[in-house]
Amino acid sequence: MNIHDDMSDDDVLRAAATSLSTLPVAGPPAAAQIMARGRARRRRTVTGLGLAGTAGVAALALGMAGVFGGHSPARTGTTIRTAAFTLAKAANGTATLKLSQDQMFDPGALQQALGQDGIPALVKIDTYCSSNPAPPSPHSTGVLSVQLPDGTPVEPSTPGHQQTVPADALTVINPAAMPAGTELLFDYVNSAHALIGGLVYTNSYTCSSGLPSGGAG
Amino acid sequence: MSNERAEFTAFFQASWEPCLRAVAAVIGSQQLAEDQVAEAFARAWASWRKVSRHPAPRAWVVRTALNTGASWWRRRNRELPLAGHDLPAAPPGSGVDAALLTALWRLPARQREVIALRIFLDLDTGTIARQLGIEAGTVRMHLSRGVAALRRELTLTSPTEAEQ
Repeated sequence: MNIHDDMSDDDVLRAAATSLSTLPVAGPPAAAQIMARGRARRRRTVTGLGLAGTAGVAALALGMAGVFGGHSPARTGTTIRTAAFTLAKAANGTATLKLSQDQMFDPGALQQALGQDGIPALVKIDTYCSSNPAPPSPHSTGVLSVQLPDGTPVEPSTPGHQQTVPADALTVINPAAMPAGTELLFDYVNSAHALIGGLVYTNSYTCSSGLPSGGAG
Repeated sequence: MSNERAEFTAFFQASWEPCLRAVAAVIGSQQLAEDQVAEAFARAWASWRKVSRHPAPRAWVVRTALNTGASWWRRRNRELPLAGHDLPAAPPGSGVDAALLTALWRLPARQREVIALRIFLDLDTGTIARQLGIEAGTVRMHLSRGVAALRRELTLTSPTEAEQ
């Protein structure tokens, strides 16, 4: 017999609520910032603007790319395509990444493909990496630019945040904007089939997987 | 400030934390949750005349956040446990029941979703059912199974540990 045997369903839910409510969460961004984002979304919806500029050209390149199976990167011209992702390099030195939604992600293949395009990168799966001192945000430095298929830019909710890359997004990578001594970090979140992009200093990063120390488990 | 702006600002400031906690509990990533909840609030403002009249606007935000960017991930990973790559650590001495958190994050996504809507948004079974587009009986089943799993986890913890 255990004390928890006598807990009602409501007691169990209250215990869960209490535990989760104690965990720290980020405070809200400025309401004005959220409203500006909402207005931009409304304007896009009204005018029906789609992808434009670099991402549009890159999308065309992705659409014209050949289809290759397997997990090893296969190059066609300026495009590397695997079952899990497509990486297209543009003449201006940027590269555009798109995940394939129905395929398992292969971090090694993406890291290799980025390397072939001259982009120093570390690609992990369900692993948290950071470096000290903290590197600048990939969004504010212009290293990463992410758009949803309808042209909606995906911006970090917090300044200095790493960049979330949803599964159906197009990510433009600008290696020329990477600060000296850094490399690109992509952490694939398996439960969400999404990438989190950031920068780390090559000589001072550490990685950990699983639950953070001191956390559950 | 117009009435609409003032109304939205008050809603946003009061609802950010419960919505963020609910989404983070479902998807298991603080960072993704922050981004997706921010996007959901932006969409709420873009459609504020509709959302402000919604019977459960916080639930609208949570559902929109969960659908943002990765609308299909739950279909694909519904039964997979969370990766927990950036789940927040329990603050030392906070009294957080780590075993309970682990058990919650191991539940299937739909069970977590139902439990999150119940405990963070305080929604009743009927409202949860309408928000998720499922029968009230299905909500009760998910709640019952989820709570049973949480209680099992608690039962595995010794009374001495549980009281600490």
